Amino acid sequence: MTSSSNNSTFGRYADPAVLMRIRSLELRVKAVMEGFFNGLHRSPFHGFSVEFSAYRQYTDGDDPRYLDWKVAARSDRYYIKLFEDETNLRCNLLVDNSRSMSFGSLDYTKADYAKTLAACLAWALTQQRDAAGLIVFDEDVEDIIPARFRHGQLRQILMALDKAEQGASTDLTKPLERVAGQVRKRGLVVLISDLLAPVDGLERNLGYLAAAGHELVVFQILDPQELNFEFDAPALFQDMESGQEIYVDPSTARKQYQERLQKHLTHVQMTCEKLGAIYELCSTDCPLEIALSEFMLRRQKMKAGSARIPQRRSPAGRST
Amino acid sequence: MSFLAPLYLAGLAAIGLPILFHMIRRTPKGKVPFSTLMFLEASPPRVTSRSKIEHWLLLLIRATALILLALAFSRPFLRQSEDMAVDAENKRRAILVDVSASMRRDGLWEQATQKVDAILKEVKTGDSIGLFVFDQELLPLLSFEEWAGLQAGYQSVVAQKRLKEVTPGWMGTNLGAVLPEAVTAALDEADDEAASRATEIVVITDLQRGSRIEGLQTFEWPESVTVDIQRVEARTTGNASVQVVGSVDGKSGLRVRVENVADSPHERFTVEATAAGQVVTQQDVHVPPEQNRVVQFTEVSATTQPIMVSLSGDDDSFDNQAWYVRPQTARVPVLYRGEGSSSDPNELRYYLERAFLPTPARAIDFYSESDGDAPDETWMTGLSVVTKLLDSEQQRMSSKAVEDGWSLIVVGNSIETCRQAFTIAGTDTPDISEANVEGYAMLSDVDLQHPVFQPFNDVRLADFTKLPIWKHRVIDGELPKKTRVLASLDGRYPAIVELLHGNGRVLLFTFGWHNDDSQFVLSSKFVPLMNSLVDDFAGTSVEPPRAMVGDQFPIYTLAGAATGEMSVVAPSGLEYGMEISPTALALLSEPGIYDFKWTDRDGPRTASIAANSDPLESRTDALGLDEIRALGVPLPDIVEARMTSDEKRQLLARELESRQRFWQWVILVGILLLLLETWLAGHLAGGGTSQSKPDTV
Repeated sequence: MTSSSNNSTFGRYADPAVLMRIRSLELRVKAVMEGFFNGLHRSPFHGFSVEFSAYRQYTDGDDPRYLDWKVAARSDRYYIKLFEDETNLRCNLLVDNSRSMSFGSLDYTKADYAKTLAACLAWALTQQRDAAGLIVFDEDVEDIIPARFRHGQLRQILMALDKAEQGASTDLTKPLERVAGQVRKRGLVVLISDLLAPVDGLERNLGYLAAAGHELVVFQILDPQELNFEFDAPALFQDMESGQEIYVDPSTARKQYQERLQKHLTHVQMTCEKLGAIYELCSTDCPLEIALSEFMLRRQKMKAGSARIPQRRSPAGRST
Repeated sequence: MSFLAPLYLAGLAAIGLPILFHMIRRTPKGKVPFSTLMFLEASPPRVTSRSKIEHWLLLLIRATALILLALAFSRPFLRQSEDMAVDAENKRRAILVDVSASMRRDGLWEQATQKVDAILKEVKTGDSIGLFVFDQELLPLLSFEEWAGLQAGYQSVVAQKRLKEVTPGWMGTNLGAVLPEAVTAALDEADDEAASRATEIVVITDLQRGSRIEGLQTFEWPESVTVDIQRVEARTTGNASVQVVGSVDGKSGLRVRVENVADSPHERFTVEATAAGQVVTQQDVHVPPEQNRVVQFTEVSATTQPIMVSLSGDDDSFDNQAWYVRPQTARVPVLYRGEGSSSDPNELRYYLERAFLPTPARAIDFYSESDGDAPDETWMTGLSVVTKLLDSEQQRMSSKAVEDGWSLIVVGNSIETCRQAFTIAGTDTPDISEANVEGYAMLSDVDLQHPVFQPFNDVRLADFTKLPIWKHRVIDGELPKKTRVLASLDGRYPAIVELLHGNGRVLLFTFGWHNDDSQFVLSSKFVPLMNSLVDDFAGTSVEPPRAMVGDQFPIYTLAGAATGEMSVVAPSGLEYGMEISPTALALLSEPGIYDFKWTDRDGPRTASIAANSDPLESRTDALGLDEIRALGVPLPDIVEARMTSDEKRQLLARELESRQRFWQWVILVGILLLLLETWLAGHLAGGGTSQSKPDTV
């Protein structure tokens, strides 16, 4: 699949191949998100902020500032007006920066795509005056920017994403444990990774976060070659993380690969559903706007209590 | 077809390689990094034991390229022409034998004749040989033409017989002139068929340092000529020589230079001077090798006898004597053709007879035509002063004399006298008229660079204004060719005109020298100018060079205007007679004193000349062959000369191969085939992808 065919399929959106040529992450994000808002006119986090919640009868010791005087005048009863938490949404973006993320059969790698996606979300959150934080990890946590809303936060996140150097192997256990330990307040946790690791650890660690009341979003980023395995010549395939080499003849190994991959993806998806997480599978040749809008649609529906089985967003004919 | 390096043909086995590579398994090329191997399993390697060849053309091209490479490295050549070259050994040889003075050393000549004999013994039927001897010049003993004309069996015999008649002389060596001459002689005599063959110049010589090889530097050697220098080795190396330096004068006496060669084992020598058979003086001298010392013999300064200087103490005696004779005074005849007696101061003759002053180099014999004892100017070089008008027969005779080298001064005291100068010089006569002089005229524009006016070439002497000329003749119009104006009158009219004719010249003065016309004879310029004219015409203005063995001595410089026969006694005692004439030359062929006897109007006269040997001939230390080679002489390699016939054959093969250079073409075709193979392989692989290039046929 080429970028030109992407263009024809996703004509409205920025071609990822062109987008990734913009070196500055900030400019890249603007290019996506401005287009996104122009098309959608909808904030992804609209309605999360300060909102009336309920009335409660006044008891001694309550702060009289919160008395609803209008109700007291009407009914001669004292009620306290309860609101949602004054703080805005806290979102932690967990970005996988392991060595496997540096694979890319296109002009850019999965890591580029993941960083851009994370940057787009951070930008959108900041626009909404929500608190955004960042955790970059490989087998350990590399960089942490605590979630808060303040001036310069977005720039800090973008810089952290930009400077993030290629890490080692993927291990979700430590980063997720750390998030579980450090992020006390409930919020949104967005995990962006290729999740090319055994699923057992994922279930357990995501389970911690879900149990702590966090809302979970999982973006699984995969390259088209990883999805389809369209190599044609027999060669020595080298694992980018472990360095292990095996001789593979794609013509014979393709079928088995696709079967195993599908099994893995299904397992990941099942796990996410079980934990109530939003799961989004992104192929790196799919425009970012599609991934973002799909995610927001799903989130709204989920908030409305109607979660549905996610569909993988990828160019036509690639659905699994 | 033969091969210079047949071992390389083993490389032909390499054509099995493409087939072998085809049979072995295909191994994956390169690595493909992939994000994870968790979904992959190792595929079993594909072993390609294909017994079928897929691309016959490709295999064929690769095998051919390898065959060509192996062939190129084994350096193929065609032996047929090589065999022809080996067989075509009909030689053309010029044998040059050194007969210079240095070959007189002990044993050298015997060696030389033996070498010639050895060469002549090897001569085969069909060979072309020329035998020459040389010193300063090349002298043929048996030319190529003569050799070809002789019966096959007798050629060598005749050559040996002629060589036996020759012995080394006393001359110096001049290889620089002789070798090119020999090449010319060898190539000139060769017919077309013979000229195409290689010519070898065999030089049998002692190759001493004084061989004058510098002349070879500029010679362009023809390609077909090679030079083989066969050196004869002297038994002794210590040679010293003695030479007379300069002339004897009252103070320093006779100066003698003793020179020692570089490889001499001797340093102490004795030099003695002998006059009239008596030893006058003797001195011991110490001369280290490659140096020279000058010895003075003041005792002989008064001796008028010929002096012989002898050296002793060295090994080789051929150059141990030097001779000295006081220089002879050249006699120059001056002929006056005019009126007047020698005692009348009103006549020009009076002054002219007294104007010529004798010098050590020359004496003037003054003759007057009117006295009747004048020599015949048709046979001799001299100087005439003409003041009268000659009749037509006399003018014709004079013209002939001038053409032969006589010099004529015409004093143009009348228009007719001036005209006859042009007639004698054989040119057109311009218009000549009498000048209308107001007051007096003066000489100007004097050509002080001309040898005749050289004595006046000084600001103190170049003043001609005190010479008044009252009457003169005017030459109108253009002067003929070969005419030079040496002085003019008041910058307008030619005063002294030089007319060249044959070997001689006519000098015309357009004014009279005495009384009526001018006061030239009374001026301070007259005597120097007359002597300058005589010296210039007679060539006595410079000191004559010393006579050396090999020189040809013009005897008229001794005899002057004398006639008859001159008797010459050579140092060896050989006496012979020569007719005295302007062209008679006495060859000085040996060192020593030459005595000359003749009779002139004053009675019997004698003179002696010392002929000394060439000083360069005494430098007997040997030249290296490298020095000869450095001058571009095509010497055959010494290594080659010592090679066996097998080695020669191998060398010939190498030369033949380097001439034919087949390997270059084979390599070229091989490279073209490899290019074709690359293209074809790329084309055949075009069906595949860029990642997988087929590595087998």
